[in-house]
Amino acid sequence: MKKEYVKTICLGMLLTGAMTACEKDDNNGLSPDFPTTSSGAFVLCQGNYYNHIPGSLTAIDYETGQSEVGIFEKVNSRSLGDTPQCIVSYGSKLYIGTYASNTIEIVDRSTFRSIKQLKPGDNGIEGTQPRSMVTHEGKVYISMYDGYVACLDTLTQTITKSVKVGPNPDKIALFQGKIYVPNTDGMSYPVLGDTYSVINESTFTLEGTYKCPLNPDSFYAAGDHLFILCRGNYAAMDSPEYVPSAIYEITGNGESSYIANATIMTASEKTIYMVDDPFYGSGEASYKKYDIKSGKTTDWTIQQPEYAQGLAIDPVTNDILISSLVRDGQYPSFDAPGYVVRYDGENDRWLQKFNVGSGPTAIAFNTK
Amino acid sequence: MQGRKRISAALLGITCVSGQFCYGAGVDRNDSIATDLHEVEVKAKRKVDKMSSASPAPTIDANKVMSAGITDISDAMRRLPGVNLNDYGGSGGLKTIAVRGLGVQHTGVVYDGFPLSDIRNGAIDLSRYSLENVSGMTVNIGDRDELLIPARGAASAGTLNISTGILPDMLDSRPRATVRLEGGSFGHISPYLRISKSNGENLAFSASGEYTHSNNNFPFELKNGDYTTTLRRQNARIDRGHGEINGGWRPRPWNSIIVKGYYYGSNQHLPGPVVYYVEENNERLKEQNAYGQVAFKTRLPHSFSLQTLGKFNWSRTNYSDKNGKYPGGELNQNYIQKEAYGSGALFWAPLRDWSFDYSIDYTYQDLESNLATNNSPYRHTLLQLLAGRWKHRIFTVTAKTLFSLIGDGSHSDSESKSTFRFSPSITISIIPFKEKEFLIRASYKNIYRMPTFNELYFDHYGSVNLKPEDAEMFNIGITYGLTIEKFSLSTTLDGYCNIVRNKIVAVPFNMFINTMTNLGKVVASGVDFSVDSELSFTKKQGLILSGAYSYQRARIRTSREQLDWNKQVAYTPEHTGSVSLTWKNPWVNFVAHAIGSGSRYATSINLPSSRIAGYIDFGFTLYRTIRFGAHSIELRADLQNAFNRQYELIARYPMPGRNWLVSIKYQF
Repeated sequence: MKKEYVKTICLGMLLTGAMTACEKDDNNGLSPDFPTTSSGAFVLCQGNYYNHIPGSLTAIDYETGQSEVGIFEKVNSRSLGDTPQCIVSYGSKLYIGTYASNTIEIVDRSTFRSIKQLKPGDNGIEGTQPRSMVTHEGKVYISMYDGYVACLDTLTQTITKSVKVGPNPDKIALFQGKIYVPNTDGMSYPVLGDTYSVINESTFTLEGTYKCPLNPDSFYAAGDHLFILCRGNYAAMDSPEYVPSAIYEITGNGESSYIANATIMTASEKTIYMVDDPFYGSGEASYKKYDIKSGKTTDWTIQQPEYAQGLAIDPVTNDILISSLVRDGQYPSFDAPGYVVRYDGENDRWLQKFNVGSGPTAIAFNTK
Repeated sequence: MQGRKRISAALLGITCVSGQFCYGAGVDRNDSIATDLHEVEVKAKRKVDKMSSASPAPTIDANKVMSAGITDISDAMRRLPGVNLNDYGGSGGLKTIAVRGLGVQHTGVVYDGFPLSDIRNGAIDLSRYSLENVSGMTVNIGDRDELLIPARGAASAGTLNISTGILPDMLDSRPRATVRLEGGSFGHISPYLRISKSNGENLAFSASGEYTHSNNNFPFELKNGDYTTTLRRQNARIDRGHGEINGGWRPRPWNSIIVKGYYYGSNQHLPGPVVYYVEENNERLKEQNAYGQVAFKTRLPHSFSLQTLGKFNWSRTNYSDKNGKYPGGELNQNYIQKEAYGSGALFWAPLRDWSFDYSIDYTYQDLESNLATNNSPYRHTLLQLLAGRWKHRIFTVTAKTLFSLIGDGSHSDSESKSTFRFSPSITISIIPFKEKEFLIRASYKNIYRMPTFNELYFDHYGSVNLKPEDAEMFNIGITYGLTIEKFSLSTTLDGYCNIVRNKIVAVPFNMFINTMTNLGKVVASGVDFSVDSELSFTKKQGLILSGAYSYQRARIRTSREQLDWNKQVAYTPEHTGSVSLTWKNPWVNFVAHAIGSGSRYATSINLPSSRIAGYIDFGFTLYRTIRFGAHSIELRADLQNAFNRQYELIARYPMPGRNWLVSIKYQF
């Protein structure tokens, strides 16, 4: 097995060798941190390996309105791996992290050919089982579920260093020169995490670990503001112990203020988009917008998808993409292929619907 | 009259499969010439077991184990019609069975007349039990024929009855012993020892022990897109041992006490599912199980018989995994289950045509774990079975009713709840021609299965409000047997329809957690066919052909709104079959056999990408028994999966490819 995919990777390297060597030039001289055009998106689908559904990648093209499901496997003639969790698009490449397979695939963004498959932890630098990624100045920062944040250098295409954080970090964000890491402590269940760690990006050292509301899941940087989504305790809504899944703004080290109940969110510089759907099969999901400047929450009236799983804002067009599962009786299906709806960022109009693979879990944009 | 008599004898035979000394049990008064039943049993059993059964009861005895080239209990289960094996691959892989589209938890397992249980998962791992100890296995689908049974024996939709026949003949005082050594591919080695002795009158004793080691690191092909590579299962080593002592005392010909002490221990590494790009795995499983049991049977005046059973069972499971994601880098889960069980059954045959049984069983079970969410659940189960049989000329009608009262609670929570169920069943069999082995049967059984403790209490996943899962079973079938000079044939054909309501299924609670609910409905219908035939050329040479085929259409009928509407239940192939051909001869007996199934889906929505391909697995067996006086040596060699077919029964758990097994057994 190993031999075979190494072969593919080598082939990929030959084909794309020219590009990999010149990360900084392949964006027409523009920094990959500040894209100016967007033509589509990449939707990572985690599948379900216990049910024999492999993870997959779907490419979405705004112009044609078409999506290509399973593009990675089609091009590379091998599976992306089991339970892919995170994807970023940076420079000419996509970086994809798979959790169960513990890989990072570096993929050419235009051909979808895998340039390199990294096995985190193999080169002696701690940190395995990727969960989330952010990019900045030639680096991909990756949270690793065994308690690390690793730094991948996009020039050398290797993981160069890692720093120990709290247990089971999930979706990280970069904010004012620091990496914010939610420590979910998901493996200590029923004990739930209530801390986050802060890493100084330039020194790549841990600055501190601070308290936050129960069960932190993900950070979102929005201009001068930093938000955290905490998942609460999953108790029944009528139980006295119930702590809802909610968004908080980080107002200082270890300080936060409540914004709204939500189960998924995304943020542009001005607005937070959120969906609150804490219990499947009971009641409707609530879609809301929060104006960061005024602090006002309003209804977000859109033609809703069936079961929103993820929200993402195109950084160039401000269009909003919502990934959704399909309805299966009273519940969503985690096995059946899902879809993504693109909404106009200006007027919230439903623009397009794209078929994707099973279990859409993360979205990256085809921006340049 | 010959036909009738043989059938009666067979009834005795079946009864006695579940325990050595069960005189008169479940037998009509006019048939209870039970004193020398052993002789009759041995002669009559093989041919007419199937013949007599009013509900389907496919059976494999020790003879068939040899003549069909069967290597372990899971292999045996794959030879039986209507039985679906779930196998996680290799000698260490969990192996459970389900019958006729009903879930695994609907199948009970009875070992030497006593029910086995696993209150946590509701499924018994058959990989623990070795064939060496087994004298017969019967899967009773619906009701068993016997009347004098514990109430729990009627409390499952299907029951696998394993009998060891481990006690020697009380009238034969010679010491007896069996020594066997088995070796095979992938570091498999298994010694077995059994000794037994009787006092020649009324006492018998036996002890047996067995140990198995296997590296289990068999090669398999991983198909990843266009690439196929050969890997080996990693972290799959297994060590397991089992010992039991049995004692029997028969102070009077109609009284008997049988006791058993049992211990099982295992220490195994778990290879886990095949994950792309990852080979290492650090999971471990350690299991221990100990129990003691006693059975007392007696005949009383006025045509009464009494059977009482008592058992105490203790088991411990330790699961561990090493991975940096766990606190302290390690996960360690301990579970302890305890069970106390008592049963009393009174059989009465007041008239020539009528017989009755009343059985009452009480079971206490509890579960403790070191999980932070442990809530120490317990269950009290009171079962009462009332059964009556009317036998007149060509007709036999048996009606049973099971009354169940079950109380569930948890020591960490004051709330408890009780469940009551009334479960009737009826079987009718007709033997229209006295001189012919031809039987027509029809049956109906209403039964349920209780939610397991995982389904009820496992944090978040479990739901304390679950109701039992209900099943209704309908069956009609025939048995036909034929003997013409040197040729004999026995075949069964059954058609069935099972309806499962309030099926316990997992549904998404929120984005991260599933929870259990009584949502599903399944309608399973199908046909089971079996044939056993033998053709003797000369006294010492002949051919034996056995085969089974099942068609099952198990469709999910919960709601038209669901994506799985009318789809085949996951892991349930529509076609399964097996065939074996044996050439018996004075030199080396030769068996060629094959088992196979059509494709299945791993998902209930039958997603094309979750399709698991069908397979045929061929094997060959050579065996020979050399006798000298009271001593015998049995030599056996098996080539399994001879054409190295790569297949899976459970997605991502490959089955071993071509492998061999040899054994030598010395007995006196």
